[in-house]
Amino acid sequence: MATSTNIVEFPSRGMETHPDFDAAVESGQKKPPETVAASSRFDVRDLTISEAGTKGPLGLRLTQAELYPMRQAYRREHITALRLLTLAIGRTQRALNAAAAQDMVDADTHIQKLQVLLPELFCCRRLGDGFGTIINSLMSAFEVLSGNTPDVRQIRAMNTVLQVLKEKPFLSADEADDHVDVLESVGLSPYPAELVEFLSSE
Amino acid sequence: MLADALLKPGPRANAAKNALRRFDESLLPVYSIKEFKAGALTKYAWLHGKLVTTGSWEKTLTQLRNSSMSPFRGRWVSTALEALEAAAHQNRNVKFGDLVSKHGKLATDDAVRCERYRLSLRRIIMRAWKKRRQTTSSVVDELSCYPEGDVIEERGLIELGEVDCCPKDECCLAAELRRHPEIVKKMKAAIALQPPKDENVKRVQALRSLTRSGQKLTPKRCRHLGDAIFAYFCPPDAVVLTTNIADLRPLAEALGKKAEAP
Repeated sequence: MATSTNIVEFPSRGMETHPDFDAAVESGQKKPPETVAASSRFDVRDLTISEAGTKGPLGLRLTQAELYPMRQAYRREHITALRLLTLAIGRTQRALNAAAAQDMVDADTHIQKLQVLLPELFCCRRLGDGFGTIINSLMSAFEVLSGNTPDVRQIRAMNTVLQVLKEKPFLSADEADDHVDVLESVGLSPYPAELVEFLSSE
Repeated sequence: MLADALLKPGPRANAAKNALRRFDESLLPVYSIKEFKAGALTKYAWLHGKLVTTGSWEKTLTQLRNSSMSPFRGRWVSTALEALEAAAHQNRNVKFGDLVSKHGKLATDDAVRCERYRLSLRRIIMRAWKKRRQTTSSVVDELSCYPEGDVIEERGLIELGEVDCCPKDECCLAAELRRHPEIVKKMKAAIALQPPKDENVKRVQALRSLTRSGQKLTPKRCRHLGDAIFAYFCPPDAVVLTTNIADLRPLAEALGKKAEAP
């Protein structure tokens, strides 16, 4: 790394490549842009920055609090969530592009790949109830779709809420409720089908 | 109706909302909000609390079925409950694929179901309360003795606050109801022709207290009046829209009014 920058180099022991990434990038193929996100196995705590801060080559002093304003930023699930959300947003965008090109099989393939990311995203729900609410809504929406491909409006809505979640993974449950309205407004059901059936059975 | 429209997403809510759209104007008495909070919303909050405190969908289901205080006991279609129990039991050790090695207990089927239902219920309850005054074209018959309050989340549990009216002397509806003892008498007569179930017995007792001197309309009696309030206060040219048509229709018809199901 060039010494003229003040970027602290990540320690190499934390830079394991995620196996999924390797599988996705075949020899000679260009790596898809969505796979540039941080690996889940990288631990931010590996950074050698003291509580008192560190001085870069340009004299810039950064404390841990400035680098990571929220304590949750250290959490493994935060990093996993950001990585998976980047993938998920990429999938919805590709699905939209495929739909625009009238290639519904390709669109559906990307949607399937989005759907299989959701269980692990739900495992990152310790980030907060807002995070859990949105991922739960997306999982429920897919369950109710029962394998049908969401239409363009629905994919766009999914893309919107995923982008919100990537920007604000610690959003409150009340904030999340408002964003789930976006999914509902395009006919996606945000609640697990069996729960709805149970609640309606009285 | 309000519970169907707000607390039962899917076909039940759609049916309720479509029924409301059949009319040019719809009026929601605040008494409905009071009944909604003390009834269906309280049950939902109880279920949400069980999910929070047990942290397990399977344990919550057991509570639903067995607990003598369960507000759902005997009132829910048992097949729906059985199907849910069977699914929970069958999958209790199922993990989200290999995610358990990475995320531990969080990835077990039981924990995932519990959390998904908890988050869903939380949203259903909070949205329902937020939208309670938006389901009809207007809200009428405000109750001076009933503080609607706010529904909040505290330490993970949903707090509904006060569910009954809090009169200084007696319920604010008492004076109006006492102005027309003949209407009260007609309603008592209509109930007498109905099956002698607990709900009807309590309603007659509450109505009787209105015509007897020295008896107050307490918050408890006010709640027992239930459908009698809707029949009494429904404008003559309006229709009472209710999912409880069996109880409400005799009362409405006794007063020359109409009641319809969604």
